[in-house]
Formats: sequence, C-alpha cells, structure tokens
Amino acid sequence: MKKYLVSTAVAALCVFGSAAARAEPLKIAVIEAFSGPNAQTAIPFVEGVRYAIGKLNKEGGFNGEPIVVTEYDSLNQTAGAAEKLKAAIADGARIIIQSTNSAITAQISEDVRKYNLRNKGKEILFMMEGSEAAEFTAEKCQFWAFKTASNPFIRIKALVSAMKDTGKLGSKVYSINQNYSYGVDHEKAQALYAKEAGAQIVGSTLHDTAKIQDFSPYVAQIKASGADTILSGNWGNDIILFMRALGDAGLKVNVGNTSLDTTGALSAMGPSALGAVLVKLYNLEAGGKAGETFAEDFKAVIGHYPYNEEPTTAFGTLLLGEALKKVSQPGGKVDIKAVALALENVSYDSPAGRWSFRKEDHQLLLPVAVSEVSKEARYKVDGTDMGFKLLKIVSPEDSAVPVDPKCKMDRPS
Amino acid sequence: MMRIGLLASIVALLLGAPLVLSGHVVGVLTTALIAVLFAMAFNLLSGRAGMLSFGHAAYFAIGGFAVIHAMQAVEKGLLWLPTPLLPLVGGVAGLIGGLCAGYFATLRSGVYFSMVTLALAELLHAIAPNLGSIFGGEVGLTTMRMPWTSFDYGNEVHVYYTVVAWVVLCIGLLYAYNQTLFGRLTVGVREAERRVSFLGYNLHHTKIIVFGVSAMFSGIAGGLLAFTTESINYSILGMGMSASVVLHTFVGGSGVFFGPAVGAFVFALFGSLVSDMTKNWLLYQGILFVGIMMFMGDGLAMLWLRIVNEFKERNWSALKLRALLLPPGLLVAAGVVTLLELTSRILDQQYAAIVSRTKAWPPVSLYGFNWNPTALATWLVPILAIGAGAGLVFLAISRAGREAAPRAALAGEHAR
Amino acid sequence: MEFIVISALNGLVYGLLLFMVSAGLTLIFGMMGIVNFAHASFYMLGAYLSFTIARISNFWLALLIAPLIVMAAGMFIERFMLRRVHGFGHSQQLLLTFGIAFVFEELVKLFWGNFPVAYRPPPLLSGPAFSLFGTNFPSYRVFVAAVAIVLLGLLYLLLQKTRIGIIVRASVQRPGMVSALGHNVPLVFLGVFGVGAWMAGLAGAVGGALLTTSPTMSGEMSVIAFVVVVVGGLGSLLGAFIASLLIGLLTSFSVGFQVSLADVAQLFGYGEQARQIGGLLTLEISSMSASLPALLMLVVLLTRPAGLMGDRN
Repeated sequence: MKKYLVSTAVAALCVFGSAAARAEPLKIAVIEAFSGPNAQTAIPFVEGVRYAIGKLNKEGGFNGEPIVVTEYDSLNQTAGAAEKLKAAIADGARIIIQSTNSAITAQISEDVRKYNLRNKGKEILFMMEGSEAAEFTAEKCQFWAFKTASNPFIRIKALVSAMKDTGKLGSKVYSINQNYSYGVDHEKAQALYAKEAGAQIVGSTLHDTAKIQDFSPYVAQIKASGADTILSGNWGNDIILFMRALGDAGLKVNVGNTSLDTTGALSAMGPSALGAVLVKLYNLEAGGKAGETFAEDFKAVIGHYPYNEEPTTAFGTLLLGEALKKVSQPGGKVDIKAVALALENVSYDSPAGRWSFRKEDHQLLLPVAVSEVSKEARYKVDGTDMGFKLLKIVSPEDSAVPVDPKCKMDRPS
Repeated sequence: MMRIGLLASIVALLLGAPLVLSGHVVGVLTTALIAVLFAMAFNLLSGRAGMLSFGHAAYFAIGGFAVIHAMQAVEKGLLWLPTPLLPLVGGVAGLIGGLCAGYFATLRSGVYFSMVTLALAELLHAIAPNLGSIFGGEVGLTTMRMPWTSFDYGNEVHVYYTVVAWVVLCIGLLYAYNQTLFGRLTVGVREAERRVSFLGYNLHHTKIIVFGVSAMFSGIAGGLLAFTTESINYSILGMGMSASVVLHTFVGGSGVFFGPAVGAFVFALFGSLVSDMTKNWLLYQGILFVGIMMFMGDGLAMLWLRIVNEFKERNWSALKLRALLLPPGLLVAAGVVTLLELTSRILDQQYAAIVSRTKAWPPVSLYGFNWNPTALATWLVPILAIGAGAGLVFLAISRAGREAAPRAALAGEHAR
Repeated sequence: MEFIVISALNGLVYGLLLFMVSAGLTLIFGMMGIVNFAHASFYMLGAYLSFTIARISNFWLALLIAPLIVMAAGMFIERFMLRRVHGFGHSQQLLLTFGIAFVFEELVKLFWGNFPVAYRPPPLLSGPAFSLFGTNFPSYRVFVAAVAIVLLGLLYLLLQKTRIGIIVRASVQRPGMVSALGHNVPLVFLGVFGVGAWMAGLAGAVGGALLTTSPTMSGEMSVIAFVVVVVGGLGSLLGAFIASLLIGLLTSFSVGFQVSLADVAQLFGYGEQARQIGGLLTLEISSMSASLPALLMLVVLLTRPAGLMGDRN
C-alpha cells in the first residue's frame, strides 16, 4: 500500500535526473482508510490525488524536483491515523492530505496544529479534501488547514436554489436526516434555505445513522405529512434504502440529496432513483470542451472516467499545485509557511468555474453542480442505463455562505 | 526467580526502547501498551471471574472522555492536576461507570450477563452522538497536554514514559489484587458461585466490585489513549473496540496472568505492521483467532508455558513433534495467504476495470513476482502447498499418536 | 388511520423476516446452549450467494440453491469446528462463532467489496400488490411474508407432528435422556444446526433483496436477532415468533412518535426547563427507533430474564 506512487515519482525522476543541484524534494503524505468498512469510500479520494500529483509532476514538480507521495493506511481509526501521521512526519512529509471520516480529519487537524505549535520552523500543512462537517471552518478552523470540500450549508443553498429554478422544489418540504452533527447541520440548512425559497417545512425527522433496515415507516410518515418535496443529507445505505422504500410505496415527490453518486448506489436503488436531484462539487457534463478534456485525460491516466469524489480531490490538489508553482524555485528549500500564504491567494480554474480559498476561514469557494438522475445523462454509471444529467452550475458567489463567527484563526506573525 | 528476571528484563527493554527506536515505533509501542492494559483489565472480569463482557469498550471510552474533559479543564485553568496524573481521572470515571453498569449486569449470569453488557454498550453508543456537549459529536473532543516540571509533553518520548509507568503500575496492582483474599474470591465466582455464597459472602456485591475494578483499569487504559492522542471521538464506543479486546484476550490466553498482554501486544503490532502490507489484514486477524480457538484453545501464552515445561521435563518427543509440525504449518499458512492475496488482487475494482477494458487478464504482482491469473500453476501452487502442509501435519500427528497414544492430546485437544 | 395500517403491514413483514433468522438461533441455543454469533453471517451469506446465482441464472433458482449452500456451510462449521471445541465448554464455542462471524464479514468484503450490491427483487415481483389510501404496497413484501408463513407452517408440522420433531423437542429439554434412549444426539444437533442455517440463508436470500445486501448486514441483523431471541425467551420458538412480530411493529411504529422526555415533562409543567437542559431530555423517540430493541432487551433481561415464553432462567 505504502509507496504506491513511487513508480510515478521514479518516472518523473528520469525527467529531472539531469538537474545539477539536488534540492530537498517535497514529500506529501496521503493518510486514508485503505482497509476496513470505509476503504471503498476512501479510494475515489485517493485516485483524484494520484491523478493530480501525476499531472503536477509532469508539469515540473516542485523546486525542480518531483513531488514524492507516500500513502498510509489510517485503519479508519483516529488513534491509527494519529500514529500514521507521526510516521509520515518521521518520513519527512510536509503536506498531509486526508479526506474521509470527519473524526479522523479532526484528529489530524488538531495534531497538525499542535505539531506546528511545538515545532516552529518545521511546520506542516494539512489539506482536508473531503470532510463535509461545517466545524472545520468554524470552531475548528486554523491557519495550517485548508478545506477543499463544501459543507451542508453550501450544498443545500445551491441545491434549493437550483431546484427552485428548475421547478423541482414544491411548496411543502419534508426534511429527513441522520441523527448526528452532520445530519443536524443538514436539517438546519434545509429549514433555512427552504424558507428563503418560500417553501414550508411540513415535517422533519432525524433517525439513527446506518442502523435503519427498513425505511418504509418513514415513507408512511412522509406520505401522511402531505409533503411534495424531500430534502435529505443521508449517505451510504441510509439513502439507498430510503430511495428504495420511496419507490416501493410509489410516492411521487421531488427528492434532493447529497450522496446519490456513491459507487454502487445507483445500481442498488434502481429505477426508483430516477428524477432525484443530486448536489455535488462537480459534474462531468460541466464545462463543455474543457470538461471533456479533463474526463478523457483522467481516464487515460487512472483507467476510468472520474466519478464520485475523484474530480473534487483532483481539483483540490491542483489548487494546492497552483500555490506550489508560485513559491517553487529550482534548488530552493521547502517553505511551508510560504506555501500556506500563497494558497490563500491563488485560484484554479476547473472546467465548471474558479476554485479559491477564503482567507478568513480557509473554506473553499467553488461552483456547485446540481444534477438529476436520468437516462439521458452523457456518462452512465455503475453499469446501469442511468447517470447524472447536469441541471445547473451554481456560481462560487451564489453558493458561498457567510464566514462562521466562531472561526478565530491564529495567523503566524 | 526466573520469572522475576524475565519481567525485569521486559521492563528494562521498555525503558530503553526510545533510546534506539525511532519516534514512530515508539508511538506504535505506546498504543500497544495501552491495548495491553485494556486486555489485562478485561481479563480480570472475563477470564478470572468468568463473566464474559461484550461491551467493555464502554468503560474504556468513559475513561477516555473523562480524561479529555479533565485536560480541557486543566487547559482552561479550572482544575489543578499534574499532567502525568490525568489518567487517574479515567480510572475514577471507569470505576463509577463500572459500578453502576455492574450493578445491573451482575444481576444475571452466563449468557444473560453477556447480553446485558452488550445491550448497555449498544445503548451508550446510540445515545452518545446525541449528547454533543459530553461526547463532542462527530468530530469529537480535542485538547492539549500541559507541560509538567521538565516534561513539556510535546515530545513522543515523554508520553511514552508516562504510559509505561501507568501500565506497569496498573499491571502490578492487578497482580497484587490477585494475591489478596478478594482476588481468590474472584476465581471462586467463576469456579463455584454457590460455594462463595455459602461461605457467607454476598455474591452480588462481590461481582459488582470485580466489575467495577475491571472497569476502573479499563478506564485508565482509555484515559491513557486520550492522553496520548489528545482527542477522543464517540466511535470508540462502537462494537469494534469491544470485539478487539475479546480477540486480544483470548488469543493471548485468559488462563494465564500475562496471556491477555501477549495477545494484545502481538495483535497491536500485527495491525500496525501488516496493515501497511495488505488491505486484508483484518481477515488474517480473524483467521488467526479462529485457528487459535480451534487448535490451541487456551491461547499463545499457555502454548509458551507448555513449551517451557517440556524443556524442563526434557520431554523431547513432545518438542520433536512441535518442531515437526512447524514447517508444514507454515506451508499451509503461506498457501492460504497466497491464495487470498491473489484473489483479492483479481477482485480489486481497478483490476476489474482493466479486465473489462482490455478483455485480457494481466498478471498480478505478489511477493515481487508476476502471477498469471489464467495459468493453472498460479492456483495449483498455493493449493498444493496447503494440501501438502495439511497432509504432513496429519501424518506427524497420527505417527506421534501411534508412538504414544495418551499424548494425542498434543494435537490440540488439551484438556483444560 | 392510513399511517397505522401501512405501518402495521410493514412491521409485520419485517417481523416475519426477523423470525426466519431468529428461529434457527433460538433452536440452536435451546438445544446446544450455544449463542451463535455466526448465525447472522448465514443470513448475509444467503443474500450474497443468491445475488450471485440470480445474476448468472435466475432469482428462483437462487432462492433454492443459495440456502442449501449456506446449510452445507453451517453443517461443516458444526461438525468440524464447534464439535471440536465442545470439550472446552460453551464460552469457547461462543468465542469461536464470534471469530467465524468476523472471518465471514471479511471474506464477503474480499469477494464482493465493501459496498452494497445491487440485489433487487425479480421483475415479476417488483410491482405493487395492492394500493391502500394511495400508497402502493409492494408485491415483494407480500412474497416475503408468504415465504415466512409457509416456513413457519412447515416448521410447526415438523416439530409437532413428526417423530423427528419429538426427538428434537426432547433433545432441547433433556439431551442426556434422549441420548440414553439410544438416539444419536450429535446427529440431531447437526441436523438442527443445518436447518437453522438453511432458514437464515433463505431469510437472507429473500431479505437481501427487500432490505440491503452489504457487508454490514450481518452485524446489524445479529444484534436484532439476539434481541428477538432474548425477548422471546432463549430456546422458545413460540417466544421468538411473538418477539419478532413485536419488534417489527415496534420499530415500524416508533418512527411516528415524535415525543421526547421534555414533552412528558410538559405535562407536569416543566417542559421549558427540560428543554433548556437539552441532551437526553429532548431526544425524540422517533430518532431512537433503531436503538429501541436494545433497550427492550435490557428491560426484559433485568425484569424477566426468561423472556416472554422461556421457562428457564
């Protein structure tokens, strides 16, 4: 598992081999759940990073040296992740990339903050490329961590506005979410933005996370409430089972969700998913020619069209690449503080629009893609005849939500 | 005498380890030692007292959360407590939690007891995410260790020595506990419940205290984990943690004092090392456990003691049989691992994508060789290895059985 | 009214499915004293095998073959693994089944991946069976209920009306005496274990398409099945049946109760204070519906450990 990407690094080394003065190479550690129940969720994130780093190395690496990426298995435990972070630092990693499991993201973010406090001058940078929890740009925001993911508020704001524009938002909204901080944030966001769009919340449910076997009682409850639109932040089995129960009951309502595109989800939901609306950070149909070029290039390198979270981490890492390009000097030293300061000011133009960080809370500002499960989608997924047809791209300005006042960032002097 | 020498050298090795090992390995050792203490604490209840708990993660976690809250209070200046004494808070919380839960759980015995512990842990796990102020929600709670005298606690090694001190102290206390009258009573609870009450002891109270003491040491272990990682999250309450302590304890052997420690140490290192080599490490962990349960039911530590005894008794035929069994056993293991690794590589999503694109089955790499998945030899080699190994094992056992019929027990069916 | 009828039907279907899994578990416990942690693995195995067989041939064949393979696996485990450690006592057997469940879960991940697979009802059964108050009731749910009821009938006839049934029931009560009467008790054990695995496999084969077929399904089902068996009384088939329906209806109806302790406090005029305290007091029952069975098990264990129908303590 470890040193997976060494081959790309070696290939790139042949290109750079002739460089006279050997600078210290930049080492990036990817800490992810490569085993255990979260592994398949984690792999798409890693594929995106692999693609982006390969591309950066082709374009010249950092300080005239190829960037070295090492992968570590977090065992999907916070203690395991903490241990692997120490290993990564001992191996010389200066930038850490991690995506799945907010608990692990919180662990690494805190460990990075403390490490930087205790080791001035040898700072490390943390790129959180997948955790959606809003805390990371609120209570837990910090200078050394950058979040290239959205949060429930950004997603639901974009989702509701796009659903309204395309006539898919009714007047009576039912909100169903998982009963933990992420689901609770979703419930708040759904109530807020549905109200702003002029819809009424007729019911709201929080249920146990990943424990419900049969969602038909919930569907009966929704039916009884008279709702015509359902908003949900459910992921994993909880959305698959819910959509199936909805289809079984033959309830015809609009559905808006954030995780319909998990690998295997569409094929498990079957035709009952048709017409449901997905809000995601990217859709392959976006950006016309540029979008196609990206999709084909990704396929040429990784072996399949980018799917699920792969584009997100690819763009997030390429955004990091923009900052690296800015401070890169052939034969220079690795200066993480300079990289972090540069990251606050650079931007990356994805096929769907511009990606950049907000200086105040290091939240990513980005265009958000809203799409519909349809048989007319250009890219079919999971071996089904369905895919995600792009409905609307919500611009970075329209998807942004205000800085959380709880974010108090200590900036280095 | 020899035993004291062995223990002293282990402690010396632990103390000297940071001088030669890298910071990362010291970190691995720290987590392994915490697992050791947790397993030892668990074994007091499940091994010595014979009350199998399937929800011990609850007390481990309670200790961890208590320590994090205490650390936060220290950080804010609300509480004065020297940093190295923080895990004590975990012990107190574990004790209280254990006495409360123990009161109910020990009303029942046997399977019913296990079910109560399981239900209690499940309930706590289900409720925890709803109580954000105590359990910190999805992202959990974090804090920072404060410096204490010349220990600034920013350093791995300072943390390590604190953990070593606590683990050694707690294991010493557990040992001392076993020597007391109450320690003997604990075994009595397992062996002859009724006699304990005939002797005039209150059985229920005895059980509650044993439960409480076990939960207290589990709480200290949890507190040490929180102390090390400076954070905690409600996922620690899940079934996984309860399951792993069961695995650790019985792999090591619950009948020997240091058995659980051996199991926990071996599995913690196993998890740390093997997980970097293969994503199937959990499967191997499970197979290892099933194998040990079937063929050496009383665990690794007992196996070691038996070998030592055979040396002392100069029981060469038994030792010869063990030596004879080792190579074919390894052969079977190698065959199984090869077969599973090849299968997992071929069933991998990426590999499947390549196959569906190119309509060909490219060779997969394993142990630095390329294996052609369509060649018969690729599959035949590991299968033959398993067959030959199993055959040799069978042969060796049956020959030994013919030579000394009563010693057939060596094949694994040791009477307890 | 509409919510009550629909929820009752859904609860019954879920309860009947639970019964198919827990029947074997309770029989095995009653007879052999083993709490079989691997029992829900048979359920998972049944679902995955029938998914695969349905994909290469058809659903009906899968329903026939998959449970038989599971039965063979179950008999292998009883004959060559559990019986081997019999001498070590029940806790060793329990730990062994615990390990086997662990291995099964990892094997399923190895062969089928970590994600749920697309196991869905066959086209013949995917439409609605009938419509109530404008809500469709899927024909597949009716089919699952029918399978469970037929199974229940067969089990009843087998246990009550045949000679084998008498021996099995006697072995549950007095294994020693049955053995002394010259019956081959180990063979009876093997048979019961096999039939239990077969039922769980069949439950998986039909339930996998109704609910979900994923590596976590065994862990989830395991806890619920234990609850059913404990609540019904360990070893009691009738108890398991009643408890299954009870838990099915409980999980189905609890969703509708958006009531919290604070609302109860409101009745006594302390609602405002309770809401301010927050935490547990404002937790609604509906958001705890999946944890209610565990709570029920705890209450039963502490108040009436023999369960609803059990006769031993």
